[in-house]
Amino acid sequence: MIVTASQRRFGDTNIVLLAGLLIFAGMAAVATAVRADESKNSAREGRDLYIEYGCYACHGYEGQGGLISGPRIAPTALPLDAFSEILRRPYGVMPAYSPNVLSDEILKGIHEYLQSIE
Amino acid sequence: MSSGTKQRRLNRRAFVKGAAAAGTAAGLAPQTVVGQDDAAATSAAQPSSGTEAMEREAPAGYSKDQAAYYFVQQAGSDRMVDALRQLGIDYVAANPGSSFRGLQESIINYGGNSKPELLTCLHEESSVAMGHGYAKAAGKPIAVACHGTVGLQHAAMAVYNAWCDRAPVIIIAGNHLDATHRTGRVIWAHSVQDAAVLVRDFSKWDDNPVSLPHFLESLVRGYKIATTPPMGPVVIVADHDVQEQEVGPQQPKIPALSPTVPPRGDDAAVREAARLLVAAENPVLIADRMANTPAGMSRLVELAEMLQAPVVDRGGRMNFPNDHYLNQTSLNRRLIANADVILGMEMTDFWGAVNRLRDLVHDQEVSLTKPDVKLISLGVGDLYLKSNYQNFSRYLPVDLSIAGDAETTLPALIEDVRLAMPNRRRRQIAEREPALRQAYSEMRARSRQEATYAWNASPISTARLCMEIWERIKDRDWSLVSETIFQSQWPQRLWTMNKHHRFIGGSGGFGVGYGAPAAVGAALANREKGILTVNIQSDGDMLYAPGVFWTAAHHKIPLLSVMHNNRAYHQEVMHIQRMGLRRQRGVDGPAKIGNTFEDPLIDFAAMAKSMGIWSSGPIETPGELAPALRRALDVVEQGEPALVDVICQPR
Repeated sequence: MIVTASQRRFGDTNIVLLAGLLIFAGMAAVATAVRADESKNSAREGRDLYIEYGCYACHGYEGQGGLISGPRIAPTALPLDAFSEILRRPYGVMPAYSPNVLSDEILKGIHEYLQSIE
Repeated sequence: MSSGTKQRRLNRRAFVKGAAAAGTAAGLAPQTVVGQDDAAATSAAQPSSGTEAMEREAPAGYSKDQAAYYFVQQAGSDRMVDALRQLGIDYVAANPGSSFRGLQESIINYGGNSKPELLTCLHEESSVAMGHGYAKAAGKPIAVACHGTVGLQHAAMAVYNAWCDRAPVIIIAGNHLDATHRTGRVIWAHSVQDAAVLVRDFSKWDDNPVSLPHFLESLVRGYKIATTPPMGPVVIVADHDVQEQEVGPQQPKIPALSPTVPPRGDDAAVREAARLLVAAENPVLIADRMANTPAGMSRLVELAEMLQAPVVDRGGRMNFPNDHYLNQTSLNRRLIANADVILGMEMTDFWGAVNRLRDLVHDQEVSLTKPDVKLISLGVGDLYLKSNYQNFSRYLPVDLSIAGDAETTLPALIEDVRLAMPNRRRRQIAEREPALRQAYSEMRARSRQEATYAWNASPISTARLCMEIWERIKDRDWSLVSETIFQSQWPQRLWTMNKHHRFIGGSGGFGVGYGAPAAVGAALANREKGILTVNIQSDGDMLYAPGVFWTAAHHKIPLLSVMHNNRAYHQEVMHIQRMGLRRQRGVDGPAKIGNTFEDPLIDFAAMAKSMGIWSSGPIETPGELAPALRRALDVVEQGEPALVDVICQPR
């Protein structure tokens, strides 16, 4: 079979495209894995923050709550802004977490942890 | 079985004691004289330890004067033991003290250490708290013996708890009142002019008898007062001289006990309460320290069913079965918010049941009821109050305040409800039942659902802890003798608690340290009935006087203790956190300072083992719980105490 120059160029292009696709797929897989790891790390860090800033004391280590201490807060479907509002200006008897003791960044980390709980 | 019990010799002394226990006056009757006119002849004297003393010869080698110098033939404390026996007091819990050495020796040797039996305690707080738990489980008190000074000081918090909880304990406090009889500086340091003043603000009655007849009368009176609702601890001083001096031939009488019938609410007031309840569309019944006996529970069930009224059980006692559809305790906020008539029975905090004071920077008072709700109070709280300690809670204006023992008054209230309810009204009320049953089912389903969160967590969730215990005990005849509020009341929410002895309430005064000794005392009472005693033991509570577990081991008191070990005084952790947040500082960690048992961690299983108790733990993962609990139960069923240390979620 005679392969023409154009066919050869097409074949070369296919190889390049295929290689590119493979590389891209590999990078995407790595990126997904990295995101998953980051997510786990983030959740782990969020758990550490959740404990460090005392949320566990009333709501339990898993956010499951306690009858006389605080309601269940996980799993949570609350978006970050609503969660933030509850922490900054809570209703009921929960004390407020001002930005002076709990930064937005830490609050976000805690929120991520609660969202990770199934 | 009890340790140190000896078969009493059937002898003349035993015959005399038996006569005393039957409540007969043991004073001497005139002697029959041979040769006198029959009409003037009198009956033979009843045998007594006094006559025995007279007739006993001096020991060999001693003249009568020498015998009188060295020996005591009949000690006053022997008669005290007679009185304890006559009152049916089966145990005397004591940490030993020289000020009551006479009584202790009489219990052991004169009484044969049986009914009453001496319970060796390692702290007077344990002695009194054991009495507190025993009384609630047994329905009758035991006695406690202690130094009138340092012993009563140790015991004070437990006396407070018993007083707040309206539980009877008979406390006998030793003292040396006569200064010329105090042999040395220890005795001087352990002597006091007025021993009971230390606890007078939180005991029901006290006396300082100056003679043996006085003591005997006071002991019987004290028992009567302690066991009359509202019940409470009493203190009777047993002076050293009264205990140890020679009684002589005339044995003083032990008066008969005249138990007081508890007061019942006024007839007209009870009729009015019945009228209000029958007319109500949304009545709610709240019971706190109401059911002292199983009759209280069954009466409340009858009333609730007649009215189709949901019941909120505040848990001061076991008031209402939780497998009855009208037990809607978990719905209490909604019920109280919708109620038009609320009956509160033996409430320790009626104000707090229908209001809330929010712990905020500026406290917020919130009413939980409708503005036009009718409130009815039924109980003995208004009949007995003291000023200094404020356990009576906040004043609540009510529409009808009935002074009377609630359990005693319920039959009259039930009858008046029946009379006030024509057939048409009965049918209308009956129509509430389906909705109430539905609400109950949904309430229980929600509790089951809530228990599943953090089910496999480590530290172990309190729901998982309680359900693993339940799985092991549910087919046995059991009694839970510890407070459950720190475990989110999972037993009340998920177990089946439908007999009066399933739960005995809490400490009353919330003095931490009540739990372990009260559990041991309750277990002692349950041992005689073959009931398995279960204690969910808080770590902080156990640390106050863990020696009570040695007492349990020594006296072979079967008790299953499963620890709720959160390694902290956790309520205080939350308090300090609240303070930090208010002040915008120190939230990231410092709340634990002063409040936690870390660095190093305490090995409770090793501690229990050192006291002679089988133990296991610490258990840190839920999968380890079942086998550990099974092994522990095997030990308990053989008549011994056992403890499983479990690392748990805070609440």
